[in-house]
Amino acid sequence: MGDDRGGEVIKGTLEMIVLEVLQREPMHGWGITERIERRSDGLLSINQGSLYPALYRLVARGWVSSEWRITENNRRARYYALTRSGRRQLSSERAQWEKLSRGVNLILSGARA
Amino acid sequence: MLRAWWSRVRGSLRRGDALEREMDREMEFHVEMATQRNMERGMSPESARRQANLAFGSADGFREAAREAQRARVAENVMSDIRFALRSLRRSPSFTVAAVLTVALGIGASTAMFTVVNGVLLRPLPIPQPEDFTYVGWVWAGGGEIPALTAFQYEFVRDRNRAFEAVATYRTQEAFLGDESAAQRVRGLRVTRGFFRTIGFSPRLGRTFEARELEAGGPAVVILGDHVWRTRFGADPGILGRQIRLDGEPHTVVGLLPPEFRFPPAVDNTGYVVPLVVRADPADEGHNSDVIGRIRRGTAEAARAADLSALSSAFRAAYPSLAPEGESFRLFTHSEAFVDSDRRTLLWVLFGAVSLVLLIACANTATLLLVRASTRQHEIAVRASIGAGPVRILQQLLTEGLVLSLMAAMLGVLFSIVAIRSFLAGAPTALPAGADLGIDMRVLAYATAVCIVTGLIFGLAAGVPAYRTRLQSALVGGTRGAMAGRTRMRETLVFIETAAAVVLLSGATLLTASFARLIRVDPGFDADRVVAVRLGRLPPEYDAARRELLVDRLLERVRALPGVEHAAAAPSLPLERGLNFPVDIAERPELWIGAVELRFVSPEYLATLGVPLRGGRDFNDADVAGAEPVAIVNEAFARHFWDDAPPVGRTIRIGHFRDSWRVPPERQHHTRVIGVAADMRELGLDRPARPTVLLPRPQAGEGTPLLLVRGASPALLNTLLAEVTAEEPQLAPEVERLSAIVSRSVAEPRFRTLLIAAFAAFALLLAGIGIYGVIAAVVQQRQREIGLRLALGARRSGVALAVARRCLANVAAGTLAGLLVFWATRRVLSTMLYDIAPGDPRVLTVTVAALALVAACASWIPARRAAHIDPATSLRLE
Repeated sequence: MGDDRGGEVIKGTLEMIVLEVLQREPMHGWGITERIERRSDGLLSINQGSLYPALYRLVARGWVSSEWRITENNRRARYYALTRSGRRQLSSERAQWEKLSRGVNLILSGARA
Repeated sequence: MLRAWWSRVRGSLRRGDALEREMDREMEFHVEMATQRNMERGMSPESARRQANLAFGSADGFREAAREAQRARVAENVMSDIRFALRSLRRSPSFTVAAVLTVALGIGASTAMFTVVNGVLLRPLPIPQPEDFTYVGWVWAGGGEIPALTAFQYEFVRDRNRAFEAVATYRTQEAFLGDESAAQRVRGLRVTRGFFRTIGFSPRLGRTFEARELEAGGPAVVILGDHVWRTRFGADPGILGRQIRLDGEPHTVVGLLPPEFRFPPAVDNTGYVVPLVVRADPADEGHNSDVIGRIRRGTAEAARAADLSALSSAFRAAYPSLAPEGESFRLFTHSEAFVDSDRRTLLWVLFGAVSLVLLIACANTATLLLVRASTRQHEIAVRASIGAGPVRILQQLLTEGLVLSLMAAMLGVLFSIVAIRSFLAGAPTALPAGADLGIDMRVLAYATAVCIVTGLIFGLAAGVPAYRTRLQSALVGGTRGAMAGRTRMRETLVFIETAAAVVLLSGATLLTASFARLIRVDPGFDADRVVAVRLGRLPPEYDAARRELLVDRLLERVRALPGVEHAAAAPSLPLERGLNFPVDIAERPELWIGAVELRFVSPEYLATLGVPLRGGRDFNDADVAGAEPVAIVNEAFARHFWDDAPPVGRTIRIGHFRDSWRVPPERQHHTRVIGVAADMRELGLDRPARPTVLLPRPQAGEGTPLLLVRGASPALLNTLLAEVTAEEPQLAPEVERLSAIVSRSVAEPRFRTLLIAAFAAFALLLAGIGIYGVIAAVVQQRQREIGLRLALGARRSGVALAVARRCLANVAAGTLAGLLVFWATRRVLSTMLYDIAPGDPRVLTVTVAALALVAACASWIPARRAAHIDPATSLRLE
């Protein structure tokens, strides 16, 4: 698997985040980068070196489909879109993530008390 | 699923370049967009571009990472799967060795058997366009058929057919080749016109026979075989036109055969070819002509059949006395002509048996794989959690299965080569002589197919339960689902194994019981201390008178040897094929039964064989040519013709058949019966005696007889050889004990019984291992539960039973299924059985008992272990 140089995104969550971003509308790789940075108020920045492998992995698993389209600026770019099974996957990952983060929060807050 | 996998593998190889280009384009786009943003943020174009590139990382690194991810399911794929499979097989060497050996034995045995079936039944003749080549034979009205015609029928077919391009007949023979002193025996062919066109070969040098050479009294000519030409004539290029001697007669060489000529392929007959003149006498009803034909290219099956049935009706219409209603011509393939239906059945039965062994070996190995899969539960769960989908894991397990079966197949093909050697050594009579058992494309295709199928079975057996279960849950400890799936699969495998083993075991028990009865049969003669001396072919200068003199002198010499009790001359040996000829009685012509067995023997023949005389006297020196014609009949003959009234003094007619004499006038007379001999089983231990007539040699004897000697001396064999060559140095006699001939007559049943018994033993062993494996695995899995039960006061015997119960239920179901399958197919064996019905209940009882014993032993060990689990230890587990 790709090397998350910089480590801005927790290992394993990148795919979930990408799915989340794609849930709104189909998007090309650059757009996904920008969207993530913007939506996380710049807290998360992702390494392109791991974004694309993650995208291809998602495509290979059938959670994301891809096609070449023309952008608003009249450039050809590869757009990624969520598939039906991708949607299912996203909701299950989200549920798991919430459970995990609740647990982690509880522990962390408990530790502070 | 496999197809999708394969198409992805193929696609990923072919589409590699296109993918790369797409990736490059995508990367370019991304970098450009990043550059643009950097410039918007106020960077100079160059630094904006550099920053963008830097952020992206090295292009190569990206490509590598992207490529890997792209092919996540395929690419890590085949090669890495294979590497992984090899690694994991190496990690458990004892499992690997056991699995590979088991399957290799299965594949080896079945490949060997397929090679035999291929060589004997499937492989086309080594002649041009073998599909147009055929034998012509005859179907009897009473059922049965023979792949040969009478000479008269041959001429009819040759002259009246429309579908054939050429029709011919041939005879194999042996002759002395060369001048008297240096003559050597060589096997060759006599052939009629059309022979070369029929088989599709023509001489390499010279020509075929001309019309006048094929007529009686035509010029003596010969076409030489390549091997003889090289070894005997030094590959003389000027051989054409030379005179050579065959049986002392000068023949002109007119042609030379190509080296690839080999016909019929079963035996090496390619020494020489001479013309055959057929005497088509309608009275000669012996089906002694091997008739071959080449069907016109492109003749449709229907046209061929129509021509044949037209020929049959024309023949019946023209010669109603020779062909009763319901008899007809029939085409035979080469293998039908050379391999009788009993042998064909035997080969297919053996092939079926060996396939069952292979099935059991596969099921057994699949069981082992399943046991292994459960110990690998954790490994698989980890792989699943880091992103390997169920399909990906199944792919890995399939690859492992295929790697395993490939190793087994390679070893198996080596086994098969050894197996074929021993098959040839052990089955002299199960195969036509000289059958070509080489490994050809078809055998390789078979082995490959077997390898792939077994590999898939292994992969699926281990993989399907894994696939069915939610792999994600495996890590969280929910292994029960996977476990249940595997247990079910293992029980199915035990069921299959048991069923297949029961089929084999039933067959083997039947054959063994039948063979035991066969060798206990009293043949009616006493083979102990009897030696047969075959004189071989007499030199060409011997005429009938000189031959009789030689036989008399040899008998005299032999009888004078110390230790010799009796000696006699006979045309053939018991259990080897003898002459048959029409014999009946004048008072009751309606009793005729066609041909009976006829033997021209010297006095003491019965005494030498230890056959008691039931009445009358033996032949003596007064029964010579010119004296009153006399005969001895056996009890079967007396029973049939005189209904057990004393036959001595009555008369029989030799050569009278269907209201006319079939012998020359000087032999048309009545013959007086002077003695009655006890019956002996001359046609095979499994066949009752046929009506037989013995005649004194001097009154009718023809051909070179063999000598039978009863004596005690252990050195008799060598003494006899020495005596014969002392009398006539040109002879090449062979000696053999009659007991060896008796033993050889049951060589085929012995061989097939041993072979199937060996298969059955192997099957039983594997089934036992399978049962053991399943119960042992159950005990392993339920250790804590068992411990708990014992702790709560369950009885140990109850626990043991509980553990084994489900598996044994499957064994019972498998046994039942096996018995049903055997019952449905039991008729296949009926031609191989002597004095026992294929559905004999005693045999089936033995089968079930043997299987029950093995199942009991196999389940006892693990069940006992379950009963002795220490609750305290097992509850602390995990």
